[in-house]
Amino acid sequence: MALAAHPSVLDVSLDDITYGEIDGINDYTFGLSRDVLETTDFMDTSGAHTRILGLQDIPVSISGDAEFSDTNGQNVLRAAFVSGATVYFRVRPDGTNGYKAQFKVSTFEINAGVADKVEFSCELVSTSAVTVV
Amino acid sequence: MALEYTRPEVVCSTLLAAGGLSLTLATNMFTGPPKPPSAAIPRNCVFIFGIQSFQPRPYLGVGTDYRQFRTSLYVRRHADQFETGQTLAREIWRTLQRANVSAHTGFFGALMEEADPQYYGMDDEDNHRWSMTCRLLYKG
Repeated sequence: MALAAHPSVLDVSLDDITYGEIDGINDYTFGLSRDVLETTDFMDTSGAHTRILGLQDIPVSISGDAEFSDTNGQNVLRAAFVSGATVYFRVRPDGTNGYKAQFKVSTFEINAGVADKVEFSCELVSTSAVTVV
Repeated sequence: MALEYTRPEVVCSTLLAAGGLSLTLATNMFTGPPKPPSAAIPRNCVFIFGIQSFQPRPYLGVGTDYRQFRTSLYVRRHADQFETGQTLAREIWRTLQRANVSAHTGFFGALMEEADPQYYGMDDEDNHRWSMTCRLLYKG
């Protein structure tokens, strides 16, 4: 069964215990990737590459409408960008199951057209391995 | 999730009633489509009603949506009162453009879609007519 996107829950925490749901979001990307290290040598005769997996990297980008009153969501990310604090970010596409990891906030961008809403986008870079939740 | 009952035409009528334009709901200002003059509806009056709006944009997870309501304002004035009617239409425009709508839960912006009320000529009963559209921004 396909999943509708709108029940997705994105939340953020400073202690990995108490999470606050982020308000105003209408787009996100949670990228799970790992380095791939080539291990094929001249003695290999299989005719195929051999590889091992390296470090994980989890780039995250979120965007939506700016909510300066979103104390436990957007404001946590905004403050973490300024302070450099580590945050825990969790995404659950079906509202229950998903992933979480530890991040630094690398960008926090605000943009607005005069006849429209104030919008924001934020990028996070991972500083831990991913955990399935 | 219970959806809040939103009434953008009431937001407009409330702003206009408080705007010093001598407009009073159910006396010379009505919510709903234009109706011909009658014992209850004067020739000189304003009608406010919702028109085709835009697709709502849901926010992820939190159960709220961003919506833009479009509300039409129709000003009708007696044949020999063109100037008075045009002045009223422009005062309505000025009252609603950038109006503070924060008293209405969920609403956070009001912008007109035209630079000036549009004059539509006279109706079959020799009344002048103007129309304009107010776009109301809402989250809820």
